[in-house]
Amino acid sequence: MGMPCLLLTYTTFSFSVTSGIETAIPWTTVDYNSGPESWWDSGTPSQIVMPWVGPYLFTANVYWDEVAGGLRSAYLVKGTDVTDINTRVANQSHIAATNTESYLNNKVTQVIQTTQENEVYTVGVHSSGTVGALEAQWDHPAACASFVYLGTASHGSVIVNRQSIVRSNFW
Amino acid sequence: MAGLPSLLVVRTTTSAAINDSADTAVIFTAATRNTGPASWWSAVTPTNIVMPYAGPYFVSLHLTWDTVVDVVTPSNPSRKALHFANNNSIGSGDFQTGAGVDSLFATTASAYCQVAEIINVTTPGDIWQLVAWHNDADDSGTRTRTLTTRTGEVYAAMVGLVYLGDV
Repeated sequence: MGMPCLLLTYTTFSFSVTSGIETAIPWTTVDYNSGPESWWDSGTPSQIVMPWVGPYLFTANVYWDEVAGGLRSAYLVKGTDVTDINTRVANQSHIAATNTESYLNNKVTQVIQTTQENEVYTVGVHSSGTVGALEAQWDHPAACASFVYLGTASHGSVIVNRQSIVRSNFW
Repeated sequence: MAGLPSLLVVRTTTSAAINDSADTAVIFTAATRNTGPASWWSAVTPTNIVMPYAGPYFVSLHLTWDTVVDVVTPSNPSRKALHFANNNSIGSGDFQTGAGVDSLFATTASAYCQVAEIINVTTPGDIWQLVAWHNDADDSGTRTRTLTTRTGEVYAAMVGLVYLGDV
């Protein structure tokens, strides 16, 4: 039995991040989704709507343009308010040493726990340098994130439901 | 409960030479775990990881670089990086969407590069490689760094894969 996964990327080459402003990433593409379509909707591209209660493996990787010295962060918040640090459930930061530090990236890996169905989560980024932008590096997207549902009970029923939905579409 | 198919390949020996600014596929020396097909990794083609299934994989990547101090000036220090590359080719355009990059800003000693990420393999049989890269050029414009392992420390290179899809 596989694990439900969601893979999101920001495929546009560059994404401006104003210095000192906590900024949500508006994902552009879903690369893989073996859960319900509601997990991510392009109509609300910053929001990830967790389908099930329980544990999820979360990973994110963002790449910065050549930047001025200062703090660079990537994090996951519960809810849509990326300015509320009290709702952060994962966070990784890096201080750029100089203004020639190219290929800087933040990487986050964390197991999180949702407490109810359809909780909304948002990935945010922050720059304290005078220049800040996410940018594709080495042909990688400027940002990518993934969620893997690690629970078991509801996982099985959802897979069955998905198959039923597929069949109903055909028949 | 059956476990998820997983593979762990490592480089147990030191001195894998990496030239300056040359993308170089890591030559692995052993598979310490493989619960998928034997073809997932073979010592005959030791750089290649042949994905047995289409779908999502959890990937953990690691490199241990040598402890040689950079010779370039502090204002232009080197980078050490790893990629996970698709299509048995490591040129531009082959670092696929969602694959990992780590990049360390190393002015002095050893550096450990790591990535943990999910990738989506589109076709069974796709070949992926762990690629090491650095730009530690000396005054002549070329320099060789090494991937290394030391007693009591982690391997010079590791790739861990867990298949998350339905088998």
